[in-house]
Amino acid sequence: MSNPDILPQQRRENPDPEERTTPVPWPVLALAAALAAFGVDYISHADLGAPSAWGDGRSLAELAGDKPVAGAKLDGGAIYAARCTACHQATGQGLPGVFPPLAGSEWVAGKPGTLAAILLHGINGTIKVNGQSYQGAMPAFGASLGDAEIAAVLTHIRSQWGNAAGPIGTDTVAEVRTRLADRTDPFAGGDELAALP
Amino acid sequence: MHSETRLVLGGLTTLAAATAALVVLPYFTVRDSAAAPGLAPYTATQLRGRTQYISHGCMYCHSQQPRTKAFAPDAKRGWGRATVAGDYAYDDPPLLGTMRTGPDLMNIGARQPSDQWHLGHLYQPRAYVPNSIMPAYPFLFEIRDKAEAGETVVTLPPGFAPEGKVVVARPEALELVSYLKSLDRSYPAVEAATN
Amino acid sequence: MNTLAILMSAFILSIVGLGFFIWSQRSRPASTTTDGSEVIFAKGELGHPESITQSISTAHGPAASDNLELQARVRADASTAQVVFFFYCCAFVWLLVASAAGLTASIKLHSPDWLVSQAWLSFGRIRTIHLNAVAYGWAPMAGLGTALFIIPRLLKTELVGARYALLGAALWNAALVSGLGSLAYGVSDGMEWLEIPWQIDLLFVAGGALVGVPLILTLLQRKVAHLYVSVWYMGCALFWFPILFFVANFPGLHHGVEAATMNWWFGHNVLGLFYTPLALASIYYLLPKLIGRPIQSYNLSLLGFWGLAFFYGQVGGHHLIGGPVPGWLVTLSIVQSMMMILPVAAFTVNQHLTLKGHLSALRHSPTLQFLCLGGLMYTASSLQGSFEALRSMNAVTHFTHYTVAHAHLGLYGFVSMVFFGAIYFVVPRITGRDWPWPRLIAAHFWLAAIGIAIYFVSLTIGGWLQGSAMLDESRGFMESVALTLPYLKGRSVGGALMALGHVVFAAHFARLLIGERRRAQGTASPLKTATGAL
Repeated sequence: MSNPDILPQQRRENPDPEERTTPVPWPVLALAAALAAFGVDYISHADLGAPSAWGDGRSLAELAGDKPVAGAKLDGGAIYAARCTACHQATGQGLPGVFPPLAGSEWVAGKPGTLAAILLHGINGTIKVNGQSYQGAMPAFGASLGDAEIAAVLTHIRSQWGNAAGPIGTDTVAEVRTRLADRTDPFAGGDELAALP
Repeated sequence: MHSETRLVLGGLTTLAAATAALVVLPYFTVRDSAAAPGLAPYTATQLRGRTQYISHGCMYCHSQQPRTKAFAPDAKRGWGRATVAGDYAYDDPPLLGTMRTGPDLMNIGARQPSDQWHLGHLYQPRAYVPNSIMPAYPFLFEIRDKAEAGETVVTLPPGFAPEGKVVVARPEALELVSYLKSLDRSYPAVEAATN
Repeated sequence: MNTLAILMSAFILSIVGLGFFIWSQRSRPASTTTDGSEVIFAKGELGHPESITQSISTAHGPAASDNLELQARVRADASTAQVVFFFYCCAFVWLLVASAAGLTASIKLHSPDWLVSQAWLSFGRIRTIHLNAVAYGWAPMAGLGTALFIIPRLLKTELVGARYALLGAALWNAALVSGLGSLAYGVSDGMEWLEIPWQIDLLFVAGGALVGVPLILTLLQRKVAHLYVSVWYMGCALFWFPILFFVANFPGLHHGVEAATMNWWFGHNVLGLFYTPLALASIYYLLPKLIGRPIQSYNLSLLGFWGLAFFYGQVGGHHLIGGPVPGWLVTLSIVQSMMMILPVAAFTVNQHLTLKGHLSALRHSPTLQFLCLGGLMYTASSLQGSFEALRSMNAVTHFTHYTVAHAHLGLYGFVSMVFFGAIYFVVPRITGRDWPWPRLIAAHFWLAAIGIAIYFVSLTIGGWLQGSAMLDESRGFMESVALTLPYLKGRSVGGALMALGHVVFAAHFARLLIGERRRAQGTASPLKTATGAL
């Protein structure tokens, strides 16, 4: 292959390129200086006090979690939106045949202690709500929500969507939690719940 | 430029600087961050579920990194506090994600602990979340005349369940749900971070 | 010393060091007269645009037949034709595979119940197949093929060990086939850009080495004293990529959030230190070649190259802003993302100076149209990326389709456009055949350009609205999903146009191969000569 044929395509193109030595225009140099100055300024204003393992922009207060401040009112609506809407929906209507409604539910308006027990330990069994039978699969929130939070969310659902039952206090939830402290399984359904004092 | 040595050495130096900053220093400072005190290692089932999560590419639409309150209202959406290195101590690889086509899942186990919800939602997301654009995963389930003992039947809203049949969760679906329910970083992070 | 002081001194020292390093290589005034570039242009050649049609070509350059420059170029082409042809054939296949997978994934986002019965067709997998077919199929096959063609030409020598490069390409493609197969089956390493299981990655490493080693040997055999700017980019890309790939895929090395920082060190550097330099090198070679005018400023080339080499490597942390990774790392990446404006400006000004007054060449050369659009999109996507890294903007755009639009502006609007142009230039020189239907080139150009425009505008608007909705705590999360739907459909329209353009492109290529020969009688194409010699 020492002397390959020359193709017309190769012949008609311009020779391989070269560079001229035009100096760098001053605006580009000015840009370089401006960017370096920006970098110095940006770094000098950066918030880098926190340990590397905390991550970007973390503060101590935030990482310690949301400890309820004494006397502060918990927002039951926010807890409901975060924990409950996926099944019971924002409208409180539930999903037909799968997740029972809270609106107009006799359980919601019923005994405060029983309602607290449902949240603390969950349900795994048949339960009748508004005349309709559901295969209950309610998760237990006793481990992840405190007494005050459970009281707040219960108070919230008892006052929404036409429900007009009275508020539930933290002490009620605490009392039920103590009373059922030995319980490990969810309730087996409506019958067992109805038997609660 | 006349010297390929200068070219190659220069190129290696710039790459070395980048590698030092983004790989080597993190290797020595945060790679082996101690697990947060409230964090339990995954069980074998949860790990198999995690493999399903990766296999089906869940991390392309769901992040696992709530941001700080100063940055975004993630906490207000119930997604949990901002995470720290110790929250990922058992994550190999971490599944931080880059998109929120769907919501953040770092604390989905805390805010949605219902097996039935997860199973039905995987079978047909639109049965529970109207207007959801999440894909349905029917291949994680079997449609049968009746379930056998020990199998998990998925309860679906009317209209979404096949007529006269039952939807049975395959082991992959149960493992995936087990992993999702394990995603719970609602414990305080500070003790872990200051260690 | 605290973290801030360390970061500040590291930044200032590295900037000063980089400045001195670039300054030490500046052109000396004495060399401009003896080394003057115009000397090598034969008389009557300056200012003539390259064209795909032969009729224009006869208007100039007849005296070049005994030009030594031409002889060297022809010998270089003869040594690379076969291997470049193989790379390009693979590139076409992966382009079509990636287009089909990408379009499927795009449609699935607004029709989530379409094609759901098969696991391998689910969004999470088909999207990953799309990304990997682009990242390890189309882009490297087109880019390395172009590099293999250009490097021996610029070094005025023949490619050493072309058959090893051919074997390397075969291994690489075997690895990609098995990699995509494993992703379809559901076996994935779980990190973006690094999904292919590490066992298969070994095959990529072997294949890549077999492609890289001949190029290094060729570099050592060069017959020119001065290395042209394209050689810097291509030469460095060829050893940057193996290091990135090897470190990133090393099993058991990375863990916890360190794996996340490594992930984006790799993810962004595949773009910044592999595809981008390959595409920039192609522009630096083809643009002056096509308009017949030298690159105007060697000094700007230096600034553009070393700036990219230094700053681009460190920007990966901007993918983790607000994440559980060290704050100093994120800050560094944000600053270096902004510093990237400098090399981008240097490149842009250099190309502008070179093109100035020669824009009429755009009318005749389709390659130049692709290159100019690609070059403009490099500037646009890079500037966009710099500002997207700022916390204030990132708070909105992070986790949204806005980022997807940006990624496609870079990898399609810039990189793929440039490779399209390069392929249109190179193929006639290795096959000895001209593109039979110039109108199909125009069709491809407009389908690609309009397609990416629709794609980019849709997702940019949709992504911004999505991000704004997510930042507004009074709006439910589902609102941020619902409002993107029209824009996701717009993306599918843009994507369909792009895919159609690729079908036109591939069909035209096939027609060129099976069509009648259109070259002078009695001359053998480099491809034929090489095939006969092997």
